[in-house]
Amino acid sequence: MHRQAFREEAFELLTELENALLELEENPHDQDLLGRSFRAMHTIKGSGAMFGYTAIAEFTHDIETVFDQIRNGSTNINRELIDKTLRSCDLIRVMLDDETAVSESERSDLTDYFHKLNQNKAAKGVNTSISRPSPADQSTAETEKIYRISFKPAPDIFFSGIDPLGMLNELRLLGTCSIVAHLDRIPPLEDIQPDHCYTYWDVILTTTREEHAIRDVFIFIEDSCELKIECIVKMDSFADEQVEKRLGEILVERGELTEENIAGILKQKKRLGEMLVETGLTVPSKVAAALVEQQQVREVHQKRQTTEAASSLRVPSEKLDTLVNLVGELVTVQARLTQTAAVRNDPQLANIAEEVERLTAELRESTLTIRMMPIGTCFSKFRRLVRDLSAELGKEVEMITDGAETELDKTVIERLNDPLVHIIRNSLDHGIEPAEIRERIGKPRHGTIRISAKHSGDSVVLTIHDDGAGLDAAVLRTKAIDRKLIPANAELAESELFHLIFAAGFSTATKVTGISGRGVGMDVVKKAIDSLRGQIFITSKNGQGTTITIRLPLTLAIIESLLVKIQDSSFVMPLSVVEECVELNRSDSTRAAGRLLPIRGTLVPYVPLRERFGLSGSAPLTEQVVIANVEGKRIGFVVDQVIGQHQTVIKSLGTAYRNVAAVSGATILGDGSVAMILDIPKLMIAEENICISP
Amino acid sequence: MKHTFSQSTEDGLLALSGELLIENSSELKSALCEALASSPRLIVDLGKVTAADISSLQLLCSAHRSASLAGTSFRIDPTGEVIRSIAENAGYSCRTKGCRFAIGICLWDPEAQQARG
Repeated sequence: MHRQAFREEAFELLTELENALLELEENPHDQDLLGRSFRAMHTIKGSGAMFGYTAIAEFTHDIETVFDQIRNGSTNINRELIDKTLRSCDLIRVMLDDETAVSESERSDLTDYFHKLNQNKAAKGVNTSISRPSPADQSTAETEKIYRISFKPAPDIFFSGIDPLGMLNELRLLGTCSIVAHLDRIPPLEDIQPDHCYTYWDVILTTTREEHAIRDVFIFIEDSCELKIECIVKMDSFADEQVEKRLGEILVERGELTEENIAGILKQKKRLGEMLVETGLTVPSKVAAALVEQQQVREVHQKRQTTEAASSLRVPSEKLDTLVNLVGELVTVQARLTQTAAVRNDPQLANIAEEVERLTAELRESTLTIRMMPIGTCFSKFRRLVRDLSAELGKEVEMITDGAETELDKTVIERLNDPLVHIIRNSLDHGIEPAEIRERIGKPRHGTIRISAKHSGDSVVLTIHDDGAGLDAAVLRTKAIDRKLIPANAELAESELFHLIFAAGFSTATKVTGISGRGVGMDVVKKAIDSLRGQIFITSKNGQGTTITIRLPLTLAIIESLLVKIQDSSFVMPLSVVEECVELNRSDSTRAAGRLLPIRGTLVPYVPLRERFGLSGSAPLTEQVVIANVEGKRIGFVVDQVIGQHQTVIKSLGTAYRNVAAVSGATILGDGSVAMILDIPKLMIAEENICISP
Repeated sequence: MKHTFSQSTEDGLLALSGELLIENSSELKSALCEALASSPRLIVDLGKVTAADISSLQLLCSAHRSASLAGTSFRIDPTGEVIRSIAENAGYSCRTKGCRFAIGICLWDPEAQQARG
């Protein structure tokens, strides 16, 4: 691990710490959360010192101590403490980028606060049972070691009132412990002295603690017992160690033998331990102790290897972006290869093309999954935002999240952050009422913001709901007329009035606050969502709250789609919205009253795209209708020909096409020509004057 | 500590309950000795034991050994949660084979006990 890797880990730890702190505020006695907070601080401090972040290590030192005390129950958690710790997290973040960016004086009030807390405790004589590693052993603090402890108590140990069991339990507190009791000295009943101790122990302990911590466990009886503590493995030494393979493993790897062959042969042979016991050279418990030791060393080694493998997955995001672009290019070239093979009618070439197609599809799938991240990473930041803002505004707001595990393309998540911050700020500032008002109108004191995410087809639907005041259509209307956004006599539906908040320069807040209310915000949100090829909707009930729904594509790079043709132009439709394709005969279209098509008993409206796009030429006798379904509403699009499924690498269109609502992008086809990607939901809205069947 | 011994046609049953601690170790030893002497097949019921320490685990082991030497069948049934967890914490139940005094089955090996029981 080098400095950069530490920084990345530290950022993750800070996020985790922040989440734990926010949860702790609600469950101050949750030991698991306390443990998580302490460990995060401990690692930041320990690793920070190791990688030369001395200022960070010093800064976190006192905070860590305070959390250690909380963990031991000698200090209580309160809001001020959480506030200060959160502020410290912010400072550490800045310091991770540049340690000198935060001056001594900037951190002094925090340092003083935590220092004072520690001193108070020390003055009151409260001692923590878990000792903090001294600065001198900081660098080794996180290094795990495996100790072999042989403990043979004096036969009369019971007389001193000490039960060896207690010591074994204390050892367990130091780390992972395997304990083997040796019973070979226990005599038969007729010879036993019931108050004598005949049992002795071998303990294998994996711990980050030093030998003296182990010795402390036996402090009262050390002189009267036989005690041997040896460090058998220091984790650092694993790094250079080449783990030797066994003969059987090598033969299996080379394909000479199967694992079953080896197992069969080994079954005939007795294990070394059994042979040793049979020959009387040792007793079973000694073999068991050695096996336990072997097992524990192996487990620690495996754990370490897994951690190393996991950490090697850190890849700079630019490299991933390049990979996705390259895969995009490859998909386009593959389409050309497939088409060429079809034109040449060469079976050999067709075979290769097919193979390439299969591989490309797999490559595309796995590349895109690498980029998927749970949206929860983005949610966790909002918890902090809601907490800080509600404190600033003097409101009581609780945030509930749902579907944090929903995965979305990394780029989408990154670009989603700012718009979501705007929306949450707006909800807190304009939506949720102060606690007193809420109480007066019979709502709970606590306002609630619920952010949820879920998959829906090839999109992710995000909803942000608040139980605040909701939007007042009449106020919106007046405001819009004032701002000359709509003519005074405009007749707008409620939903259209709500949509006005996305217009530039529109803000309903009567006073400008630092949080929102400058009239910038919701239009920026809409633009950001548009640029992500997403859609944003708003619903609201006056007095009951507002819900903002954002529908986002899973990925910005490549989508599955349906390739269609009208005259000589090709178009693609995202497959996720396509429900089915049906034929439309000219006789049907002329006979039917209005543009409605009966599909299994329901009339579905349709739009001839040739007409919609003003394409020349005449339609064939039998046309194809692609039935699309957007949020439960069905509509048909009439095309000349349906070519088939197509992997569409999305290329964005230039600024000249920005205002063309019907297309969301373009793609390059196998023959090098360009096809427009149809924006089905927008086309649907444009055709809304047609009655849409449910 | 309380102990009762009863003899059915074949098995002798020694039921132990309460605290099996160092202060009762002599009492436990005598109870085990008597029970072993009175029955060729002894079952020890530890289901109602509320506390135990190393001294009692040792005595049970020791009784198992004496039984093996005398050709008496000796087993624990039920072990009870208290004894089970103490035997585990004390590293008694961490063996793959029995001890050399009672070869084959260890008193503290739950699987072997189960298979036999």
